[in-house]
Amino acid sequence: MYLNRSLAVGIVGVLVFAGSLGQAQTTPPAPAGNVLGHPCNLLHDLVPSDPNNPATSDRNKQTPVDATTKDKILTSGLPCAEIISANGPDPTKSSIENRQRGFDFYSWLTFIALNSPASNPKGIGSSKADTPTIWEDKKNFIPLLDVMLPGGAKPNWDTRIVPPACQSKHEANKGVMVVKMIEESFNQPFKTGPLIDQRNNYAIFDILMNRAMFDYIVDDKHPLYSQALQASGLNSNLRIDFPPGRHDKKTGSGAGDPGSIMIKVSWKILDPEDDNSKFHHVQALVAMPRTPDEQSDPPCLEKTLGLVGFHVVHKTEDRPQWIWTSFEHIDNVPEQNDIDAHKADPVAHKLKLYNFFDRACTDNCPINEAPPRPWDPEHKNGLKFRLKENGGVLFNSQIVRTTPLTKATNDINDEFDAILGDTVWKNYILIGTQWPSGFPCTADHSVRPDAPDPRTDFDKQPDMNCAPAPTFLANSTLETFSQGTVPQASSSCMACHGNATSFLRRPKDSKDQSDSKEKFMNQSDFTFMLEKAR
Amino acid sequence: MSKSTHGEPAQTTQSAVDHDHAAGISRRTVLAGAAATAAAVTIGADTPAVAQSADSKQDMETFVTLSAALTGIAPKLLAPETDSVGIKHDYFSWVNTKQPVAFARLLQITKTAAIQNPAGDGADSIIKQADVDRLVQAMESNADTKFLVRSIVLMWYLGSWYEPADLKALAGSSPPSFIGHTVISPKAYTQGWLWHVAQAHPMGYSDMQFGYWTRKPAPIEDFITSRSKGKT
Amino acid sequence: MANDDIDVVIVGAGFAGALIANELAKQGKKIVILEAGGGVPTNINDYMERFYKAQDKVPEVPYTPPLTNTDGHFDQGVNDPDKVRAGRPTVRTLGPGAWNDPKQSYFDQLTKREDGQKATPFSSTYDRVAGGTSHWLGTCLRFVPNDFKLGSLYGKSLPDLVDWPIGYEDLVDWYGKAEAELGVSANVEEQAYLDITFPPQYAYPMPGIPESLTDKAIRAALENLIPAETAFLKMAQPPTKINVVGTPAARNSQPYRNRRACAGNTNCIPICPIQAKYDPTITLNEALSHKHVTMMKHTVAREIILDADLRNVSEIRYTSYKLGSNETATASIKAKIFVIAANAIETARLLLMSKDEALPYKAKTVANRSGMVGRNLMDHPYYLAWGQLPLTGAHQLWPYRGPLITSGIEDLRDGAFRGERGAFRMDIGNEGWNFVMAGIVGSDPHTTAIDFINGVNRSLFKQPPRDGVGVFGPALTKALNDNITRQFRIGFLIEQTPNAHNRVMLSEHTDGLGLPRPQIAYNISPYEKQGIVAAYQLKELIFRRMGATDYTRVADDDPTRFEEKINGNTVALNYGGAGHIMGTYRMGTDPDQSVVDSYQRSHDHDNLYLVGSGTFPTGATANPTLTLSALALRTAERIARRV
Repeated sequence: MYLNRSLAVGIVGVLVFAGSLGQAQTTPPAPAGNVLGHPCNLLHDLVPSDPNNPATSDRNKQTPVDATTKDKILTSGLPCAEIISANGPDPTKSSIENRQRGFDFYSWLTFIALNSPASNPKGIGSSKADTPTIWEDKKNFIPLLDVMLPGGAKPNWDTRIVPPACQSKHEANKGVMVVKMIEESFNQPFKTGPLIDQRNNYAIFDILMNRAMFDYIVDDKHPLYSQALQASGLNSNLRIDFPPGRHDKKTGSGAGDPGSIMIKVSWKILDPEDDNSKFHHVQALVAMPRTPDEQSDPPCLEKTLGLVGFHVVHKTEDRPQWIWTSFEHIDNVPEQNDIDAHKADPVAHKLKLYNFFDRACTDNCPINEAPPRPWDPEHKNGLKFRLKENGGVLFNSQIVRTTPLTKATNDINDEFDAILGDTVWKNYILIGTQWPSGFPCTADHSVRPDAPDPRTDFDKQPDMNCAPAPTFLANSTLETFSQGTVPQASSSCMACHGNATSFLRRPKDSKDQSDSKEKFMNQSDFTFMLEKAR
Repeated sequence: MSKSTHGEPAQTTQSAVDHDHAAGISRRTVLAGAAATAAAVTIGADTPAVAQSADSKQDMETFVTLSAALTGIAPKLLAPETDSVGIKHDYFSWVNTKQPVAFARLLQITKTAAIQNPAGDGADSIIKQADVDRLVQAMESNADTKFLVRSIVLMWYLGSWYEPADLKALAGSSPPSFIGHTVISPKAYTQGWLWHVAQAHPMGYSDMQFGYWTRKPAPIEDFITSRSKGKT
Repeated sequence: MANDDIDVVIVGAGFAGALIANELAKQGKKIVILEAGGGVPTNINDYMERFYKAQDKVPEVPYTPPLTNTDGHFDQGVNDPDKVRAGRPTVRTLGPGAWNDPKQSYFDQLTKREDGQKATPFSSTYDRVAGGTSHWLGTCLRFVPNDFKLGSLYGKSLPDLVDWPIGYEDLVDWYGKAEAELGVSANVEEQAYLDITFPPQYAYPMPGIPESLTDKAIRAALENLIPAETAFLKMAQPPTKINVVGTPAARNSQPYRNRRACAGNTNCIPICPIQAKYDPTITLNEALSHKHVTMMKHTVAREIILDADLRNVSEIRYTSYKLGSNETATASIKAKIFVIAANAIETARLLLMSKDEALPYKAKTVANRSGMVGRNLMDHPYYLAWGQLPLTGAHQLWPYRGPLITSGIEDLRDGAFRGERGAFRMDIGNEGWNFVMAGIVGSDPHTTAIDFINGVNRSLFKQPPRDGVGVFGPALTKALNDNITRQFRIGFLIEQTPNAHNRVMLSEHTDGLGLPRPQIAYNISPYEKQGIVAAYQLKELIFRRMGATDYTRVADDDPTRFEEKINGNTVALNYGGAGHIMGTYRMGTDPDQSVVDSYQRSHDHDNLYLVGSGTFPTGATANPTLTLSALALRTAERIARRV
């Protein structure tokens, strides 16, 4: 009965168990080597119920969250794929709102799972602010710069490059995190500018991938870790297709494989004056980048880094356009309506202290502008932005979130605030989740049945992104200067990443392509990582 | 500890997002124009309460039917079940503001015409020509609505508003050399359907991947008809 | 930076200015750039928003100063040439009655030249903002070797033709460096025509952009030709095949220097939404990443002031303005070397504004002993034609897909016929009738759509919609798909001879800073007109071979309209501007006949360099950007040795 009702929804996105009924839904072939044995988190909202029919869950039981539910959420681990329904417990909500809620919930589960202690994956409830997380552990994730090596050398999962200036300090403490900075470590995507906090420190950005992505890149059948290999004949017919996360539909056991996950983080350097207890933080060795005017070996600095921004992108079987979610530290920036409310009534609406906004600067403080050039951090200044000649502050970023969080996002953040209670993770909020909403589009597994393409078919027309919802999404620390709602120009995870290509080259003997089944495609499956190959 | 400065219970009864429980903008509510609805169509955005009546949802559905009939695009594409963009709200509000009386008449004519809602996939997802012709005949019988209909088609096609009076002059005996238009919004421009009718995309807005232009496009059905699920 | 410290002042942050600034910055030189317009914006939100909202999506419309009001309509109130501080021309004021009305148009265009000949519109425009003419298409063609020697080849019959002081061989390596800096994509195998050579093993930075379906169709039409039908071209042998080859362009076909590959937004002009097309802000930002480089935006150079000995420039006087305020400030800046990179018209204008009565020659303005400053203004007159394939059968071309242009015809750019008529190259548009119709009835596909929806026929379809009767529903989508997917357009860029009477002068009409605006006298000569005649005949051949219906037309009141007899018929022709402004301070070996030497250094003033396409003594047929970039890099190396 339940299953019939869920099928009546008629949305292919309600996935998971329909296949086991013998429905005529093509199950794509399992990627070679994937073991569907990983235990997957099957929670889909705050009240446990049949994942096939979330409408049965009782709204009245959702808040406050009882201890059992809270424990379950904190310990159930990583979802292998999303569990979404157009139906939700609240009949006043539309299908898109229910789905958005489903994705946002899944994003929170993912955030919790990845930030759980590496040594005790079920232990986030009792973690400390500096407890190393699962994603920081080299067993689970590897920084992009340790995959795309100088000279296009073959990377090793266990090897981390330590820059010369950091080597002696690293000898003394082999487990310490090493952040190797390049231009993209301080200059936001497409060179839109660095972010300077209220203590004059540069924010630092880093990109990591999980084992599934790494294995795909070093696979001998289609090695992608250098430009030369990407461009070689080995890869000229490859359609880049990272392995997706999925549940095991055959047995209904709920086990599966998480598939490909990539992360982008932003760090705030914590000075002695900062309250470390409010940030998840790590002690790190940070190798400064070379600058256009300073080509000598950059210095290696010992820094305490506080997490302020966190993108997770997860590819799943039913969303081959990936699912894009972002979190921020709660003290990063105000919203414009916070500022307006404060101006209207300064006493009733006080502004708090922000990481990237000066509440005392009300006049002549243009917002969301990039610093004056040059932008590269001078070696002699460490990672502080240069000062005026008289020693005064030249520039701190004055950042405002231009698109306010929706009410639904604020609600779910409140719910997880209660769940994360006394841990440092209560200081983190979901900004939003962007997901492909066009179901006929996402369900397209090949354009022509006689010319099957991998599940990530990039020839969908006219929209290979399958209608991202919401249309725009920006993290105030990672897409600081591209916030807005102007199509193409303003930050939208999928609209931008959909343009990502690799160095693959058309086969030398390829025929006229107009009708060819052998269409050459250099799309790189929504990631810019491959273009960082050297 | 509250996560936001506005943690009070919502003032709204629902968000003006998807049309399942649509916060359809009633023809009786005159809004300030596109600006008001531009905010209303972000997913879950908080909007001031709009008087919800059974009429307003019905009006939106009627508007979608008449638009699909005139434009020849599948209604499920103009107004998807899961609608991340919600351009229909922008357009409804725009026309309602420009010509409330004539628009109300168009809605009435459409209701009276009792168009068959297309139930199938592909070519069967488009409103049939016989129904279209019937509807157009009723709409053109009235000077008020005849050219408004054409403005509405161009609005869906190009995201621009051509004044009905200008279209009338253009079709008259001493037509002007140029007629102007107003782009309703950048969002509307990117949602134009004419480019898809040509199996292409609006200039300046492509969601396709490198090299697509060296191959023939997908069949026109992929651009203007709908299916209930993907082709596998 | 204190005035004494500055190595080089560069006026203009466009292609040439940014490239020179960056080369010198990499070598640690202290640079100040004066940019008349706005700086590099934090993001392109405003540019894109202006573009999307604009009713007339003309090349200049995204950029500042704005041309449109908040409704997206062109608005004299927003863009009054008398009031704008750093104004520039726009395509929007080129129509009849506007082109020669200085109340509407930034240029003061004359209707008669000083020799009494009728003057017609100079139809090219530019941007005046950090990044310069960022609205360019992206085409990066090299000149062919003979382009540098037209004087030697044909100067006897055409005395206006002159040689360049350098040849292709002097630029071959600089072309390579410019291609690397701009990021040019092309397949070298198809680029070695008409004696163009490349160093051994040379590869372009990126593989060529794939061609479009329209390109393929035109190529197919130009195979298996009969000599009799191509004899009109007067090539050495009438070709039996005319090649369609990929157009090298600064457009990414793969990731390049952290920028994305082309996604076929079909919007190169006016702006690539994803910066897959190179624009000079990229190089400018690189320059500004060095500590010793600064840029002063909203800063208009108004006068070049010479030392007492008149052999050197001592300083440049400039006026800075602020947006939203009438406040201005005028000051001077000194440096060891001065580079004027303000484009061929603004540079000439600045030179003409720089008077010094002490100069010992007739024209008492800076760098003008030859009297050639402002003279020999050239463009590539652009002849456009459009057509439609038969409505039934498999004749679809599917325009509006891919970059605006992917391929062209290059084989016809040289030959003995250049003693009689201008050579040309042909480009193939991928945007259907989008812009060819704009000046006549309004751009497409709007016009085609209105034709069917409103029952009119402004496109002049041979199978027109029924009078006043609108088409709706499936019948409409079929009619529009049938018609639009079969539309195409081609364009011909004709080479122009230099002529001393085509010139830039100073107008008595002033801009918002009280500075005299450019005054222009210009027309096209029989050399160009005969080039257009040959282009017309090639168009006829192509259309005939494709089975296309010709929809080309010239408005009766088109100010560029002219008529020629072709094969016994009187044919109405016209020309547009290609945006290629050249010649106004040309290079040469003779200081009495040229303004600068081959390093673009003024003959008259040792520390003054004038760069950009204004130095081209002849324009040939290639788009000038790659050549001016190569020359700029060559000049930068020369300057670097001196400071």
